[in-house]
Amino acid sequence: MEQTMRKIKFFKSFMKEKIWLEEMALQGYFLTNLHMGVVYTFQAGEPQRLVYDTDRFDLPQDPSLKDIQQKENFVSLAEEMGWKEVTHDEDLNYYFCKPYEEDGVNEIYDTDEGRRLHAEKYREHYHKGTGELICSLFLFSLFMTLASAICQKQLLWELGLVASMLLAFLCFLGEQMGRQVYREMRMGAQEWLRTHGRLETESKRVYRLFFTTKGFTEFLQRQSLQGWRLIGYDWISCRFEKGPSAKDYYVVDSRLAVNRRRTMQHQSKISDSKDITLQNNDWQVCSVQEAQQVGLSFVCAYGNNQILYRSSQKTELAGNSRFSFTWLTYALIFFGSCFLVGFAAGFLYGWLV
Amino acid sequence: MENIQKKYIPMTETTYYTLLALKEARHGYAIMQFVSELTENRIRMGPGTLYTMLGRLTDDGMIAIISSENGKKVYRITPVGEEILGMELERLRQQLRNGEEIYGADNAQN
Repeated sequence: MEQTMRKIKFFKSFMKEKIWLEEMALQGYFLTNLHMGVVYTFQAGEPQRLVYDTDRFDLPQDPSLKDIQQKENFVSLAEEMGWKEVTHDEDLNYYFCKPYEEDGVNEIYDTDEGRRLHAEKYREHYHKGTGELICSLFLFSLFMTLASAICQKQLLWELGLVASMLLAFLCFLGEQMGRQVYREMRMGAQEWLRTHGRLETESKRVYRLFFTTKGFTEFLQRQSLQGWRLIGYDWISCRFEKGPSAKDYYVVDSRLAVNRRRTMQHQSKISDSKDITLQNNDWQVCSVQEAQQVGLSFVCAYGNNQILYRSSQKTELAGNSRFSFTWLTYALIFFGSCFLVGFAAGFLYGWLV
Repeated sequence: MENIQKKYIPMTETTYYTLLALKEARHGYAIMQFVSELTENRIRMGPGTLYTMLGRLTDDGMIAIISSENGKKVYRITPVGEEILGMELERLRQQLRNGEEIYGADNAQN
């Protein structure tokens, strides 16, 4: 019985894609084709435990004979070792698969050095892609500006602006993905699975936005009563790991609070006049030391802005006011004031002219 | 020669065992089988690892391709490779000797 199935799915993470493909194979669906990185074609068959892996064969600017032959040579070697070339997509990612072996090697690059080379190949590729996008972005907006000037049509210019914004977003996404892919490939599948808690422990991710620090820490406290302990936070989502339920207290510390504390204790403020980009993290060093003294344990830090601590007892770090806000509130205030300023400027202009 | 020496000494375990395997002419898959048999499955190599390593060793003249039939290349160690391997063996001997001098005696007593 020949049966094919088509699924559309987008993965930002190669590892998640790999896991998904392996789950599909366990259900008896084997990848046969892939288009644009999102349209997956499967063929039905006997369920089997397979492992999937990907590789690239990008050529350098001036390829040598060896570079030209690398794909052919690699594929024949991989085939001897049980790997089969499945397909490749428009981005020339080659997919390989092989039956899972309990005691065998279940990845193409299994040493630390190999993983580094593999990850670098991908990073290079994404880097190049983003570079090309930036060039086209520049040329495109130049073209649209000229076109709108020549045709005297403002619509062209506006279209160009919207398209430029879209391209800029793509650049950002590409750069982000490149970094993520590098991190993942550098880790290897086993390590990735371990750190992402899919193997041993139960974990969950909750997407939620908070306006105040208090709301944030209280949410975390409620979760801890159900046994969910925070293991990571990335501005929009919290990652939890299941453990025994306990009442945990969370404390957020910030640069501002550290300096407030220091002023209270008549110490000099932490400031660095050279640090115009606010990257200096001396305050974090100071905060961590103080937190340790009062028995708070470090959970995570987000950006160079705040540090989150946990404790089994109610502990306070002086200097943190009860009503401190999260990045979301600040972002809203920022955009709100931009809007207001723009509005006022427009109004004034209209009034004056 | 000096450069190659710097690059390969100390040697990674996979490189070391690959060179051992190539004392006799072998092709890619046979190298992996030989190594995993010799080390009782402790050292295994994925195709990517093996491929990049063979490529680099060939470029540096440590091993050479002696025949190539329908994509199946057969490799063998070169005199340069043997010389480097000899140096590495000497280094390993010293490493082992030093370790035994300092920790070996204690272990014997326990």
